[in-house]
Amino acid sequence: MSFELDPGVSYLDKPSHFVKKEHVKPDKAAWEKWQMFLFRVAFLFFSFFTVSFLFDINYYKSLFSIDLSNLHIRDLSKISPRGVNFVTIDTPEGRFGLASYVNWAIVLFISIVGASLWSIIDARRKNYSLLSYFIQVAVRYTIIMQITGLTFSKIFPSQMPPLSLGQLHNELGDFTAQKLYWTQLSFVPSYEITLGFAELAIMTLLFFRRTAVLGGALALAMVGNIAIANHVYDGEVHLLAAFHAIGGAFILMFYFPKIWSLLVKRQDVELNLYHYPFRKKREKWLRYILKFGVFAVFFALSAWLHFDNYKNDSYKVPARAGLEGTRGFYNVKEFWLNGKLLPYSPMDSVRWQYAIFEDWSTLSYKINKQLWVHNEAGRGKQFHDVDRTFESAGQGGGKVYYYYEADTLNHTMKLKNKNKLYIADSLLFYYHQPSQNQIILEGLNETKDSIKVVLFKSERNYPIFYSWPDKQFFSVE
Amino acid sequence: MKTLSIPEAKSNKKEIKEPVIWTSLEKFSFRALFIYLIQLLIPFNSQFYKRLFNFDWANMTWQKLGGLATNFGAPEYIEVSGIDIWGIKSYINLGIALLIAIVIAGIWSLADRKTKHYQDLYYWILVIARYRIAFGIIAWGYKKLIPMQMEPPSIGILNTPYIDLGHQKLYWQAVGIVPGYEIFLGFAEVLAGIFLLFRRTTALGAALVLAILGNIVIANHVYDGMVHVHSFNFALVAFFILWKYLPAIYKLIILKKDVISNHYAPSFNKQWQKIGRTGLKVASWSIFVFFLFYLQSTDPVGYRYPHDYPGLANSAGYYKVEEFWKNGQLIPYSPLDSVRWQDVVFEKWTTMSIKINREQQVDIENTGDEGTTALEKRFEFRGIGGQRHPFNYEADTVNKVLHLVHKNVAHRDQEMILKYNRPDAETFILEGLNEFKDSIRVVLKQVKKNYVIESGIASLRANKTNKTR
Repeated sequence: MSFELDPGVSYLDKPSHFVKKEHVKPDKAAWEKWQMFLFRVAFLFFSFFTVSFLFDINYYKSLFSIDLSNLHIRDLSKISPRGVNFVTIDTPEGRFGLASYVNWAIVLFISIVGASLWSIIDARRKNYSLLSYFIQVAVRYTIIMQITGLTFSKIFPSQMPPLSLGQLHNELGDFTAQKLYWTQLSFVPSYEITLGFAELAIMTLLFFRRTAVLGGALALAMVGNIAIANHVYDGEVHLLAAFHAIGGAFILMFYFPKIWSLLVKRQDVELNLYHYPFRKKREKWLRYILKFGVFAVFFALSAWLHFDNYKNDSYKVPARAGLEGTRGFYNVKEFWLNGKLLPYSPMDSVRWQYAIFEDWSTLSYKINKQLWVHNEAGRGKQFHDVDRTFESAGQGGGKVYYYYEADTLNHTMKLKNKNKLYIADSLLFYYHQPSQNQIILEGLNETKDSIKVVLFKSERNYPIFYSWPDKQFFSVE
Repeated sequence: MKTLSIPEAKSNKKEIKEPVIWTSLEKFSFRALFIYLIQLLIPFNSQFYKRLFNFDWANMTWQKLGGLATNFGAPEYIEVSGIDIWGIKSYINLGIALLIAIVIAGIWSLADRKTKHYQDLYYWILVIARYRIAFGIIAWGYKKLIPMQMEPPSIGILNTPYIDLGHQKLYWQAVGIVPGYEIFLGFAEVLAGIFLLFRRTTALGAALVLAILGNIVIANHVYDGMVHVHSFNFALVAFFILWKYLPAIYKLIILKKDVISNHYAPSFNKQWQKIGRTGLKVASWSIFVFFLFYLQSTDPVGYRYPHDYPGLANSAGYYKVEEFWKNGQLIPYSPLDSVRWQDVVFEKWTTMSIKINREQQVDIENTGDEGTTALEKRFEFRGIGGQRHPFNYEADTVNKVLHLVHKNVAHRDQEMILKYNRPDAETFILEGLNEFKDSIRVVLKQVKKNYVIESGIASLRANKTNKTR
């Protein structure tokens, strides 16, 4: 080995002396036995989560179901790689707990068995520099393609949309932990946007080979935090988040020993990592085309689709407009049950305590009754308004949410319970609006009793809509 | 003891001795940085030293010791008050400190033209910075590791609508409801601090502090949290600690070039130096890492709520108002009435909150320093607007009288003296004069509630609210 002075490499403290060593070429280096075995396991494990979808017929089915003339943000997840799902355990432990990792355990088992066989067949090889390069590429691009939706639905804040008035009037004790965690971002869109840009930074850093290690570190830190939060808050997306975190860790792993040597052991360090040179013209072009394709679809197109969605049909918020000018919180001045006037009471299981109309076509009211909580967490990207349940999922407290369709000529409202556990409840009300802030509803309630409800809109200011310096007094009804 | 041995091959470079020369720009920048950091790291506050010398070590509490490590920040050349604490103006003292640093560095540069470099001074200012930040972040982390900085919501808060809480309050409650997450955050902060205490892991610790505190700065801005400047100080100092490692990291992992490790550290060869170094390390570790942890773990009750002032026995809970008489007249329930009570909450401590449809001013302070009396521990209602009126009570259990004072500083003039009577375990009958000197008689009946938030996934497993009334 020869040493030569090479000013301009790097230094920590002065004085600095620069020595350049000649390296063994990384593709000629001999790996340790255990490194070879662990790499085989890791290679198989990550292959399952990054490229195995290419052998799944269902992937192509959904891929070709995309309507190119009418693209939607839903279509992005049809293009992006998906993991494997051998079994689903439908118990709380299977959804939230350790058992939810069952597919990971299966994949890991297969990988270990596979790696053992591979070790026997391919015993003479000295290293896997080529494969290690390409599996890193696969992990990097898988993460990019899978988090694009989360990134851009935060940058154009629609993943945590503004809360409905109905949600806002629920008491804190009536929310599930997951819902409180999730809605933390709903009332501060600027923070949601900030986090979106942090995720965009992960995508961008992973997109380039040089900065991939920073992307990996950021994915581990940020998405790892999300994975832990999803565990403690029972958020149900811990699997995906955990995969992105260990994917980031996997990329970081190739650098970490060197960073550790440099910073902690304070030794001289050479990185000396293999990367495929792409020398042939064909290879070069293929690389450019693939890279450009990912950029075009998962950065540019994805950004556009999410912007369009945010502007025109924010996917968690029902699209159909509500009765004009009705949005607000209503006191229930009168409540008639089968012709009998019921007085105000917070303990009554039939009499409404208050009612709320939204900008969109949802009517909610509160009664004092045990009700089932539905917990699809308002996830997914539903087509129909009645299925867009972000406003009602994960909340108790005797609150009933109805989707309605109003016939403004005949002044009737058809209502459908948004809670999937009460899907049978559908009502018909006659409504009229004697004045701007008054609504009267008449019809049969869910127990087929005839009710007449006189609602008066209340005008109040609420703390949550203000920054502290703006306002400290909040008037009452 | 210094052994004279032949250097090994790998420390080849250390044999080459070159005169160390910093450029004039480097020297000027360092002088400015040095003065700047001195202002951030050394408390120039007589109050601090007064507290330090009046410490009662025998009756030490974690609040006092932890406060020593966390509380002091940038010098207050200008007192920032009122609306300014929220905006860009709140950073003015950091700007002034920078100005002072540049001016002094200028004078220093004129006066000292001979010095070739400041290797030693650089080393020592970073040592001070490391220890200062480390003990601060560890004390901060302990409050989460033993979860008490964000306490679980009080019964009053559980019965307050989302819409009546300010941003900061909601943010804190979201952490408070899940101790597991708070512990994780505390663990990360303590780990960062421990890393900073070792020379070799300094860079990792500084990077971790920068990431955690950077996020806290942003969160404090968006949620109106009030400790943005203080957190920014920490993040800034962490950045200065990290600074000298950045070129090497960048060249290694981004440019993929070879990097030579070369760290300057003064030698501690003399006996007194060694003893002094070890002694200082042992002493500071013992106080701020071990003793503080001991204090905190032996006093794990939270400090936000007045836990030291227990309320009436077996009274904690949510009560409906069955009857409300004012001046001998029965008033029916109405959510619109500005006098009639709608519901009442008794906490485990001496707080009784009443829901009334009447305006109150929001108390918007967020400070780490809670008062010591029950009345002054205001956390439970700070940042909350709306209809729940908090009263602190002093109970005369012999004559069965409650003396109630509004906990909100803006409404302290509202006082009530009520006789109480508990015919059975679930019922309260209160009689006396209310805050407007009207004579009232109120019958309260406890309602057992199970909250969705507390039953966690159990409530989803059954897919059911367990709320019964």
